[in-house]
Amino acid sequence: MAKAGSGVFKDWEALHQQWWNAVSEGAGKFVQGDWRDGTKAFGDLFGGKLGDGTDAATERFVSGTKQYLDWVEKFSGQLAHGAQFPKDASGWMKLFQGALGPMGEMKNPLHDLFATMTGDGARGFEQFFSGWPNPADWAKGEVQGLLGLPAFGYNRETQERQQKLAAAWLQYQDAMGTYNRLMLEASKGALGKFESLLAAREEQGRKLETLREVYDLWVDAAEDGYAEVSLSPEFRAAYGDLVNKQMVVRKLVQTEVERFTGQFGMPTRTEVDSTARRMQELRREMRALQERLYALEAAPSAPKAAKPAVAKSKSIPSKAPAKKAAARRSR
Amino acid sequence: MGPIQLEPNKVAAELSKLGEKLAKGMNVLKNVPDVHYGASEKEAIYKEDKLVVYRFKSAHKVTHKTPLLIAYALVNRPYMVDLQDDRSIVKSLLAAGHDVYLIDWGYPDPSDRYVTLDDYINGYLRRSVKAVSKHTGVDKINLLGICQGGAFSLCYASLYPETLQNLITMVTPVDFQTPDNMLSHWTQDMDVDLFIDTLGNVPADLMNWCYLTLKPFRLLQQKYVGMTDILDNPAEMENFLRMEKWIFDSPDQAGEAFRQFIKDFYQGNKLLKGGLKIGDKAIDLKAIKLPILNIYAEQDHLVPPNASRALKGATSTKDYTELSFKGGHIGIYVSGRAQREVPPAIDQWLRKRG
Repeated sequence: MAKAGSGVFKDWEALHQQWWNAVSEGAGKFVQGDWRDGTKAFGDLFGGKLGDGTDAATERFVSGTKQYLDWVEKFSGQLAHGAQFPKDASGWMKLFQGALGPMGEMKNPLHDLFATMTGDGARGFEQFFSGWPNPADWAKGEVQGLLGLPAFGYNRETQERQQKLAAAWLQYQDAMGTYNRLMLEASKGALGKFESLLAAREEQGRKLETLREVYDLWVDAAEDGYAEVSLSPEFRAAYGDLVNKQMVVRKLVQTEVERFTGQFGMPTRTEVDSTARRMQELRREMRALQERLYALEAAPSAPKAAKPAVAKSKSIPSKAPAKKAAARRSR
Repeated sequence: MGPIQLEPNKVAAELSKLGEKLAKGMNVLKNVPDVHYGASEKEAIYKEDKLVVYRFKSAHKVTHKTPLLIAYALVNRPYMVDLQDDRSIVKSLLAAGHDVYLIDWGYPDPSDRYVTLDDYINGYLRRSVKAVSKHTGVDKINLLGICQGGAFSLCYASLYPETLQNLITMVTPVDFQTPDNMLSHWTQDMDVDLFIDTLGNVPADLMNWCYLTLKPFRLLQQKYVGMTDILDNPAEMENFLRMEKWIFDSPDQAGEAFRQFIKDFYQGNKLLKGGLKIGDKAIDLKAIKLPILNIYAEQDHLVPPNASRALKGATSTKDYTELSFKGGHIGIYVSGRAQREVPPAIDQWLRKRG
């Protein structure tokens, strides 16, 4: 068993700072500042200057790589300053887990999704509820019970709508809690999978010789853990419930926004939808008529039998539409 | 030392290299030109609302008398089939003497919220086939449907078989409820009516995020850690950014079409089980008797292989061929292996059938 301060550990201690300086310097140059605050530094310096595609990709790169660099720093640091090298998969597992940090947290992807569902505009949804108390606090204050009280008086209708919205928000938070619990299970499952993969490697005599190989194996384990939970019946129900509860809240908010904008004479979502529906109906009717017209024009001689009686009076004007149709087709 | 055998010198080299690449990376990114796509010149031969049917211009002699129309999915942009010079299925097909056409469905906006699957299949797709027939002067064409476009093509082929010579489906879901289909699993308990009534059109950001969360560690983190390997290589970075552009350049989904697609295809699995209606027309896969080439990807996480392989025996064709591709849902268009294997396989299969 190797120990710090002797043999291989002496080399680790001596070289660690040197390697890390190289990575930090490189990462610092990349983000033009402290890489630990990379996204901000990048955004301050290059926001909008590299072109949309490059900016977005680079932001994703900085965000994804930062977690990796965090882990590299902690993991290699533990190796350099640790008491000893682990002797088996289980020991490595503990060392790995100690360095994992945010990289190992299965954050709730749906939370981010809902927060940015329609880009910047949807942040209004989050802002709408930002001042609301934490649902747990509501429960403590027995607010939930108050939501069921009958409304009355001049503001009865408004009060009832607001109670409905608040109740829907609480149900949504409950659904989010269930979903978060499953994500936590996925995170724990990933650690178990990683240990199994390490043990399997040990049995097979296959060694991991670079930090990247260790990281890649961790990603395999994390995906396996996530997939196992994601394909479970419980997750299916929780996912559906979370989406449905969020839509209920969103719909109720839309109703409030409609009432508000309507009071200022602004067009509402309902009106825009109504116009879109009518427009699509007209498109269909127009295409159907157009196709019938083309078919009639293309029909060989079927109408000719009846033509003599009207041919003299109608033959001249009938050419104009045909020409127009032909011109349309060639456009 | 257990399964992890890290040696100081090797780790030193690894981290030094990472540092160097990061240091060079920003300069490379600053100098990468704005990425463009499209290797082959094309001309519009038909337009309707937001839809455009393109014909690719070819420097080669057209030797196949039957034109080939590609129908892509609604959920991404169709230029994936002609991404860049060395990654273009279209270019290879043109070189093999095919006359290639492509449907671009366009970007739906709120005015398209009520566009239905009936509009897409009995309307846009049918008239696109008609336009290609008319443009080439033939009665029947070859149809190549990709992913969701493949499902549309199967519906179309069951309704209008007289207009098609051959049908090719690529990474096309037929059985939407295989046990390994994560996307399908997630949709089963969704109230799609509430979803569409609330959102209207389905935002592209939501679709993209949903796809990323199928493999969040790989797609949101590992991919970008892997980007450090090519950070000092401008050509590779350009390719990477072009792919990024394609992945995130997604149209919103027309609400009513999405509603029926989720309810009938994902939740009802009606394409395979029966009972599917597009508009007032019943879809029966058994009505398809024309030759079929079904290409699927072995590592496809969006359309698992079994979802595609379900096509075998589901139609009445006596000429069914399956081609298994070693790769994923995206690699089947853009990987080096795809360029070597997929277009030649399509060409040879079509060559035998006219």
